[in-house]
This record gives sequence, structure tokens and C-alpha cells, in this order.
Amino acid sequence: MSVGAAAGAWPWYRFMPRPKLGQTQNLGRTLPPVADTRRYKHLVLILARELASNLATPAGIVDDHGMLVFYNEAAEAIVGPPFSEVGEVPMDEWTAGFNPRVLGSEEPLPAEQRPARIALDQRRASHERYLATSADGVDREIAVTALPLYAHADEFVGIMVIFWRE
Amino acid sequence: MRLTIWGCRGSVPTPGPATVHSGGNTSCVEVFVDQDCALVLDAGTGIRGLGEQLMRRGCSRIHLLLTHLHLDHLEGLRFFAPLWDSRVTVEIWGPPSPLVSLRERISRAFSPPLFPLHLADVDAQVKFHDVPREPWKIGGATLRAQLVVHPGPTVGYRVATETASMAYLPDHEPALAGAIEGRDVEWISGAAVAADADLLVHDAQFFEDEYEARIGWGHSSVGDAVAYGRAVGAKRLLLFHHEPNHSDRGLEELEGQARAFDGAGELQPTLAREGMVIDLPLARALDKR
Repeated sequence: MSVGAAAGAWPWYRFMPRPKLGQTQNLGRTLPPVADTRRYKHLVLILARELASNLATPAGIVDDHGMLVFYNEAAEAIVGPPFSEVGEVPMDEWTAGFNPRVLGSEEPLPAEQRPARIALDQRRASHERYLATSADGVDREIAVTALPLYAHADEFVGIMVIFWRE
Repeated sequence: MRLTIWGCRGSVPTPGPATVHSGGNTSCVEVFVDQDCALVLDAGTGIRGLGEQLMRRGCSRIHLLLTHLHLDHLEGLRFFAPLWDSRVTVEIWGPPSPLVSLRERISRAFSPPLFPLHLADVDAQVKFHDVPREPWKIGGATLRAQLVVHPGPTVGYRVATETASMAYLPDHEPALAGAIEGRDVEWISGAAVAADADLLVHDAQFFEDEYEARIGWGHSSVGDAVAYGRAVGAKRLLLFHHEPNHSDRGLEELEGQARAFDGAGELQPTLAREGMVIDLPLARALDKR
């Protein structure tokens, strides 16, 4: 098909030589929205989600502001409803729903000792075993691995959390 | 806003009779927003001709926005006339690297045995910037950059004014990060710069059968380019980064396939060609028909 063959609005371009400069015209359109910084996910989070989506191990993705932005199908066995029904939620709020407790003593596990919070605050990998109540109401001993996600130039963009059932 | 295509070939320059219609120069696009400065996207061999025109226009302040530093996006810089004029300021923006600064990476192209002169020999005032994570302004334009799927640190750009917006992702393989269709737009590579753009300039290097053997090379099939344009809500799609082995005839076939993929859509996929000029917003052009 050659240029200009289509019907309707063709062509919407032309070729040099260009006309005099400075003739662009303001048609009074409203300002196009600048893409929302928080809405669009960083490439590293996109790739991490793709990895997590293909894991048979429960895993979730948290952004650099502590918002849980994804968990995979395998995680639904622990947390209940699919992520599409839950939507994005603050990580600490989501974690608290499982009543994490210290193994043996059953004392509440402080947030700052939870692997995800450590990875988020201190930007280092962390691993911990604790007791949690899963969506079916059963207390389970689980192990959690959390690791920071970095982009180019050491830009911290979030964490990946992996849940291991003991 | 006015775009001028100075180079749209991918990978390596391809001059010759088989490419006279589409052009053989590698990536370079000028985005004219206002008289105060020039915005230039990439420094492929097309930038040589642009440089001569900028000198004729007396342009003394230039912002060069590099998507990445693969040679086909950089090799024209050494022959960019404004760089060799002490009256000119050139600000170069590019993706950050964890190890080596943008200046150091570019200086490799300005050193023997690749080139007889060094970056320190350049006459213009040259400043280097890693692209910020947040939007920033240059003159009357708001710019945004986002890392996208392509080997090595690579960004796409969005240039927006009060009346128009364009997105430039010349080297991009979004399919590598998962299915494009049916995915929430915020989870699509490059959507932060491409979403709802009046014009999307996007990689469409391969036919579908060619792509099958080149998955992971960092470029898109024409079908994926159309799917991407639809997924991010672009208003028009300019097919860019032409495969060096594709002649004018082959590219016309590729354009036809793109329109078939778009079907009853409104993307109106069109081949980028050297010398092409596009005024945005498109409504102005449409009113003329």
C-alpha cells in the first residue's frame, strides 16, 4: 500500500522543505495529562511481576512507597482472593491481616522485624520464619524471603517477597 | 509542536537506490517546540543534516535526548556541526548507568582509534545529564523519560506542550515483558511516556516471521508495534527503526501489514520516512483535508 492510499484523514504529514518556523498554533486544547508518576510501574517492577507470574511459589511485589502492587496465583492459596479483587494496598496493612507472630512465643512479630519491612527500609535481603494465620483461618509456619529491587544507577524501586510454607 | 524525521533506519545506515524513499540514515528526530532552543531525539547519522540546518537557523541552544548509546543512535554526533561551534551550548540527556557516567560513555566515541579527536576538543559548551525520574521542563515542553525493554540502559521519551504530545520509543521490545494485549496499561513497558500520546513513534523493525528468530534482540514486530499503540491509547502510530535489509518495497508491505493489524482502529500506522514533517496536534492537519 502506498502513501496516501487510505481514505479519510490521509495524509497527516508532509515533507520538507519546511515552512517558516514559529507558526505552530494553539488550538485551545486542554493540557494533556502528564503521565502519573505513581500509576505507571517502573520497568524493573514490570519485569519482576512477569517473573513472579511464572513462579509456582507464592510471591508478591511491593513498590518503593511500601504499596503491595501485585501477588501471584500461587500466593492466593495463602492470602485468599486473587490480586485483581484486592487491588493495591499498603504492605503493612496487608501483612497485619495475617497476624504474624514469633515462633514459639506467639508474640506479635513487630513490623520492623518482618522481612518485607527490613528489605524496604534497609534495602537489603532478609529471611525470617514466623507463624501466620492464612486466609482459611489455619495457623501456619511460613518462611518469608524479601529482597530489594534496583534499577540502573542503583535506583531503588521496590521489593520482591517470596513465601515458603514450612 | 512539529516533528521532522532526519533518520529512521535501524541498526546501520543503508544508503542506496533501494532506500531512497524511506531513507538510509539512522535515528534522529527534531521536535520543534519554540524558537528558544532545539530538541533533538537521538544522534544517529540523520543528525548530520539537522546540524547543518540548525547552524543556518542560528540555533545556539540545543538539547539532545539520547534513548541509549548503541552506535546507530550515537554515530552521527561526531559530525553534528553545532558541536564544533563555540557559540553553541549542547545539553545531552541520556539513561543513567550504574558504573560509568554519561560523559565517560560518550567520550569513548570521541577517542582513537574510533575518532581522531577527543571530547575535550569539542568547541561547544557541552553539559551532560542523566534523565530524571520525574518529568522536567525544557522551554515550553514538558519531558518525561522511562526505562524500557531493550538491551542495556534504554529510555523512551515523551515530549508534551500545552496542545500536543508525542512519545518516542525507537528501540523497544515490550512483548518481552509479557503479553501486550489485555494487560493493564500501567504494567506495560514504556506506558508512562506513551500513554494517550497524540503521536507514538515506535520500533517496528520486523515482520512477524522475522521476529520469531530475533526474540530478545530488543526490537518489535510490526504486529506488536500496532498492539502496543492500541494498548497505550496512542492516537497515531509512526513505524520507526526500519530493518536495514528492508527496501522501500518491503517497507510498504510492512506498512500494509500494520494497517491490516489495526483493522478498523484509528492508529493509521504509517512508515517514518526521512524528510517527513508532522505538525501536532493532528487536528490542525485534519482540518485541512
